[in-house]
Amino acid sequence: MSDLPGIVTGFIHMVWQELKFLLIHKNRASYLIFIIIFGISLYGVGIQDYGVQPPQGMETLGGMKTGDSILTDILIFMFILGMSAFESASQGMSLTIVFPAELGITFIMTVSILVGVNMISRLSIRCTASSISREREARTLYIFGSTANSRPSVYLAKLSGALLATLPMILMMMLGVFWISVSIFGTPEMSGFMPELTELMKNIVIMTISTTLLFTSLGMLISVRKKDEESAVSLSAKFTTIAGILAILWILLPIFSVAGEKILSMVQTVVMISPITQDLMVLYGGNNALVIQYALIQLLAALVLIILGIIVFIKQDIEY
Amino acid sequence: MITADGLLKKYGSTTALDNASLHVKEGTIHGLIGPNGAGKSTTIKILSTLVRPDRGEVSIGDVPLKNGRAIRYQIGVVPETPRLHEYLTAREEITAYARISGMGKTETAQRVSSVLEELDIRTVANQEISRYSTGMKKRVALALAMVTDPPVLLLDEPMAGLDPVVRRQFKDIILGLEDRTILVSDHDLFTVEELCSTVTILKEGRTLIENDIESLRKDVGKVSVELKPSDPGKIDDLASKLKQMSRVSSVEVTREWVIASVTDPDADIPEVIRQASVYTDITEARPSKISLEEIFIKLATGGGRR
Repeated sequence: MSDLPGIVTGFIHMVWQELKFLLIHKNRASYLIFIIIFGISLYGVGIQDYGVQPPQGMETLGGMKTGDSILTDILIFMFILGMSAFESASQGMSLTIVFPAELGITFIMTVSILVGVNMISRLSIRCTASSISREREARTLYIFGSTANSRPSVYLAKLSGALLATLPMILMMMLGVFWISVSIFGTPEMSGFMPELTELMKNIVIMTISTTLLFTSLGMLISVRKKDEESAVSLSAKFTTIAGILAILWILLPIFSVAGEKILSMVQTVVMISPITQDLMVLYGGNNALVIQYALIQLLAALVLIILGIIVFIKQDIEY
Repeated sequence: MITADGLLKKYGSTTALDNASLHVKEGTIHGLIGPNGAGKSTTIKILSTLVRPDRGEVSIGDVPLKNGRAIRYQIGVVPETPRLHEYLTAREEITAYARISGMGKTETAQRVSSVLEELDIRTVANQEISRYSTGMKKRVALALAMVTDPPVLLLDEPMAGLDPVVRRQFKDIILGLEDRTILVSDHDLFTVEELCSTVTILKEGRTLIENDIESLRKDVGKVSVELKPSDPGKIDDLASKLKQMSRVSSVEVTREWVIASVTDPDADIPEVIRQASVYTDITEARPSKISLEEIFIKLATGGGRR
């Protein structure tokens, strides 16, 4: 066994073993649940009617207008829904609602991040959190530790396997977003929104990848620190749950303005810790430079976590 | 081939190894013995690069421990209780291990077939490991250790948990592994005596002694000759006569036998038999070796020598 080809072969096969395990033995139910939940969420967005010009007066609500914040958009959506339902009911007609196209874009983005990215992050952190802790608990880690592969190589192979295991979900998400976008904005009169939508899809991909890598790296660090799979997975789930809740709080930020500037500022700071909040914020802002900047920050944080995890793993004893 | 000096390993406040040393010659089967908690498994884990010593020098084939990759190229490890990926078949597990170790596809296929055949697990190789007995799992673990054809095998209590029939099979397999340097740790001294020509005795993390078993017998100074007089009534008289001989260090008496311990078996045993025959008719005379267990008990209770 010469060195370099052996190292490469060993690494590829460790990745393959991890990926095969995650795909065949671990994640089938997760993929199915993702398809159902993300599919239903997207369908809920796609089934509505959208128009270039919203019904008169509906693009604003009490001084708020679409694009101010996600909450404003949601409130306008709720208002339109309520008004339309009332009108239809009072005239004895069936309910017909036409939403502003901008609202459609906001919904696609919100569903992609809050449901899609959150679920993908949840899967990726769970996969990596269990990767080494699972082997340690089963006392099979010596099988990897006694091969010629170095500890960093084992660590990175497990990480890569978990990352690859999230690819089907990312692809499913992007296919879903593409399908729903084409079905809403594919008509000639809506074609003006396509450049904005294409840009949004590109940015969703960037933020999805960077956020997934960040959670995957965090999961690996948890995996080397925890002695058993259950506690590692449980801790990792808490991170994604908190990240999701903070993102929802960010959406609800306008409500906190009622409580005063100080509280608003404090909540703003806290919710910004969540990578999912950052995703939503930069995507909603639509500033491409900011998207790249935040993606790079997340990638840098991921790199720090990876290096930390490798150092911890190198120093650890492997028991059998 | 394997050299370890001044090994220190602590787990919190517990000292697993305290200035332990080990020297194994190339091509030998070396026993690492000691009671539970003596530091046998820790030593093997350190040699496998799974555990880092707090202090000490280790090399395998002149490669220092800090060069972990090069060390691991040379070794195969069988843990005391081998845990395997239960959802895989033996063939899948061994193949995956070979590929992870960096072996090419063709070479892997050849080696996997070879070890499956050698360890007699070919017929069940496509069954899930979860269905295997402890003995079969040990064979799979040995197959993992052997598939990359390493020159050094580190076997941590290879016979533990095996029934007598499987033990014998396993012993024959290990003895059949020619041209390899094998370190066998075990607290079952009969196993070590059957397999090994040299031993290291550990006690409370320290090396009591290391030598070949024959030299240890001489060191301990107890090789005996058992004499059976034709007249059982003369047993006590024979014992008294033998006690007076300068060549005899001690005498024990059983119902039919007089057992005389000597220090230089080659010179003393023929002379003791000759003298006994002069005194009375001897129907049977046989030299008996001190067992490794007796050596161990004597050393462990009487303090260690290097």
